[in-house]
Amino acid sequence: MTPDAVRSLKREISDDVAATFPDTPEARAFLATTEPPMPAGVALGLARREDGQHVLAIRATSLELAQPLVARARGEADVRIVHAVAPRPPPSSAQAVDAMVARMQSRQRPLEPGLQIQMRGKNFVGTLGFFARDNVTGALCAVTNSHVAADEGKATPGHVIGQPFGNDPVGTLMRFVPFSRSAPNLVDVALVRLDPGIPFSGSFTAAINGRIRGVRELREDDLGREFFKIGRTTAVRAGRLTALEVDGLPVLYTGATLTFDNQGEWSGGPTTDLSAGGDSGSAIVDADGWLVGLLFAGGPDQHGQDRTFGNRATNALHAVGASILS
Amino acid sequence: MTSARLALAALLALGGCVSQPYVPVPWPVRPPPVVPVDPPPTPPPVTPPDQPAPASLDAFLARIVVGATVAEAAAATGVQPVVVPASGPSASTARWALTLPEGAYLVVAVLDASGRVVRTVSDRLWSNP
Repeated sequence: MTPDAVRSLKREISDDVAATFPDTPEARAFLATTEPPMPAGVALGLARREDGQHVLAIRATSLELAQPLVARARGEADVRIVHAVAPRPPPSSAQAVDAMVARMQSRQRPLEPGLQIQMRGKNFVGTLGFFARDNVTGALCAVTNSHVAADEGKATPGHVIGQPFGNDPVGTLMRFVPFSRSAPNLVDVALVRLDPGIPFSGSFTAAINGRIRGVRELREDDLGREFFKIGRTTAVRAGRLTALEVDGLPVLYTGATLTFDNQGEWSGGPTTDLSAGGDSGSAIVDADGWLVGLLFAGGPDQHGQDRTFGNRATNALHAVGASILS
Repeated sequence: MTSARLALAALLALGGCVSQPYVPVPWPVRPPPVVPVDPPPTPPPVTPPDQPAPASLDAFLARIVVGATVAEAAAATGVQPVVVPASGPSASTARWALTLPEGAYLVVAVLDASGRVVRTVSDRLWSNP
């Protein structure tokens, strides 16, 4: 299939789901304002096989849910059974720590992408993604996930953020994008205003040992391309983009399953996980230094192979009203 | 033979007379022959003393030569870097955080597997006022 044929098929499937909604003013208003709905328990996107053919990416919680869609795509589908995509909180068990990981989890000044950060008084940690300038005030900020710096939207602006832990402040929560429980979300993002005098390297990232050149959209020709991330748990890892425009992705947050649209999916391959718990908030960059994603969730597929998901970086920056520093 | 002695010899050979008495001209004194002795051992290479930090970013970067070791780069720049280990596909690096008259910078030297500089990257250090 061509990429547009895949997108057309996604729209048809979504229209069929929308047709099951009651014909009420409320339902029509909801559908008019939200992203196209996907079948329950199924996320659909655009993938590319090794032979170069674009196919429908089906990410379902069971094979039974995926099979009718495979038939509808006449077999031109890439199916992954992902039982539980979850945000990436840190693992509770001890893990092997190499020197670079130890560095990312220790106190570092100047700040840089990939370092561990924590909300003061909370028992979870995450990753500082990259740096940006607030479009409203001009303040210099760090970008990470809402579930890292805003407690999934339960925090209030002004909450102290520390590196590596909350008792070593580097900034305060400035704003975040609230989650919707009824409509698909696009981003899991928060903006942290850095305290005066806290030094940071504006664009250098150890993910590529180079500078972030700017932000760009994910494209069809990125499928299969290698990208890099740096996070507090697994440090630098490389992975390939395996699907994009993934809609209807269910993610298990605390007490609720939220749906995400327009996500990118990466895989480190059969032997390497691109990310693990605690890497939430990591920046995903290409080999040339272009920022494309904000890592936020992941989980194993039916083969035990990690699937890492990221918001589009352009959406994340737009949503919090900030511009990349580069 | 000096030119004066040559001239005198030529006059004598011609049987002529000279208007001035012959004055021997001393030969230059030769130095005594040098007796070869065992040469002294080659001194160890002198490590240049730490250099004062350059006043500009370009000057600092110019002192970090491709192929240099971290120790050589440290000596050349006069500033000891922090070495950051390799991780996954990312190489190890040596880093300098500098405060120069023109501003604050992070300078990163990317190292190969043998610990030699492959390339350098610089980045401005920022902070909120």
